[in-house]
Amino acid sequence: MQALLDAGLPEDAAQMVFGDPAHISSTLIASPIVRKISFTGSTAVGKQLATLAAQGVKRATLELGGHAPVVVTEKADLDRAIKLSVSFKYRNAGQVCVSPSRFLVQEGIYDEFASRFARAAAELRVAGGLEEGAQMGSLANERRRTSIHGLVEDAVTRGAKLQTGGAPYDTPGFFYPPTVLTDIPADARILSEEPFGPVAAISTFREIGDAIAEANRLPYGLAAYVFTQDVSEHIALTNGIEAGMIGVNHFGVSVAEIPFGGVKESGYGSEGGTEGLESYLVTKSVTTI
Amino acid sequence: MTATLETYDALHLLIAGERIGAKQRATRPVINPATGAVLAELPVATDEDLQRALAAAAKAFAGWRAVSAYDRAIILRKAAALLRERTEAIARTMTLEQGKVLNESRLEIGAAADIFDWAAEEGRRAYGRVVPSRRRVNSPDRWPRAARSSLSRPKKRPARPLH
Repeated sequence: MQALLDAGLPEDAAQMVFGDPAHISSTLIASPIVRKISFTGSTAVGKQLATLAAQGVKRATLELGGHAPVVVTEKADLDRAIKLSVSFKYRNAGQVCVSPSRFLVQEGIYDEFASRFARAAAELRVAGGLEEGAQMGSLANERRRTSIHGLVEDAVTRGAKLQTGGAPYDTPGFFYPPTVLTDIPADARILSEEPFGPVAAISTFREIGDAIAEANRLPYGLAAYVFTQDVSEHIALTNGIEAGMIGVNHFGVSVAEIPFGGVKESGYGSEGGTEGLESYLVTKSVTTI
Repeated sequence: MTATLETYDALHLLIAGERIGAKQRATRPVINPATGAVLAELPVATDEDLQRALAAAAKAFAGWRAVSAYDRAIILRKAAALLRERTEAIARTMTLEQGKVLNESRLEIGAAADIFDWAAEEGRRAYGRVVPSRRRVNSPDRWPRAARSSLSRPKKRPARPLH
């Protein structure tokens, strides 16, 4: 905001307010002055804002929750898939809406993927973000830590195997270790609820169709990722998976020039790309005789 | 209460160009998640603040919508350059507030600057379109005249084929 003002934005053209989110949202969205709402956050809050927006028939761009599947087939470049997966899973301690969170690995490479992933995760240096050499920082708040630990305990109680991590540190700050779960029962909450934290849930599949079905099982459809070198698998997976964004053999789906958004309960509208600009324009048809 | 770290700027609301600090309002603490310590107090907007913000937005919009896409692009590009220049200071603040590793904060600032640049460039191309009328009310020689006007200044468009 300061950069915009210093660059010459008229000083009253942008306002910044803080406070109780529900109160601010209901006040501002109810005003006829506000014509467009853009929100990035949880699906639960997004639904409330969509309801408020609907009262005034206002346009909204909603970028909501996800539970991004990563499909790794036997025809993938395994070294690349593991290296990038570990790096992106723990970026911002997993608190990224497009964070890879459900790893679906074809059965022939499952054991190798899981063990190498867990080893690399365990080696990450967790420290305060300002410390030299820190590879993963803390969670944003205590609430996140409690929620993530609850998901991990639930999975372990139901029989999942904890490959690494899983216990909060006994130090100041809201740190949680890079955690890897395998052999997770289908009813574990972590397979349905967005973890938004440094936990990788690694499951397996046999046929490509099974991976697509599992990817599409949830009401979310934000990001998805595919690792394969096979063009038929590439086509089947990118056609079959319901997601607003699919990264094939990489995780870089968030750049300014391409649309960023989800389908299903992950929201509607796009940030970025020409679609992002379009969402702030109104179409006015003027005819003259 | 002011910021507990010298490097962390005091927080404020920004309404109609006015900065309202923590001493002037009720507050909530901002916690450094890496230590659990209070970084600063965040001022909370009153109902009156929200109404003033709305009124300021309505007033400013009348002027801002009249600024051409060309001139808005200049501001956005400048803001992008300022963000890049100030990366280290902003990244430090983000890390203090959010707990992420410093380099992750730097990358996000770069991405934000890219978004400003993209909007600046693409905003200039937010064209409408002309749909030909069903009725021939316009002069039929309108389009050839438009072509002549570009031919008359060929030096300004050296890369464009003349046709």
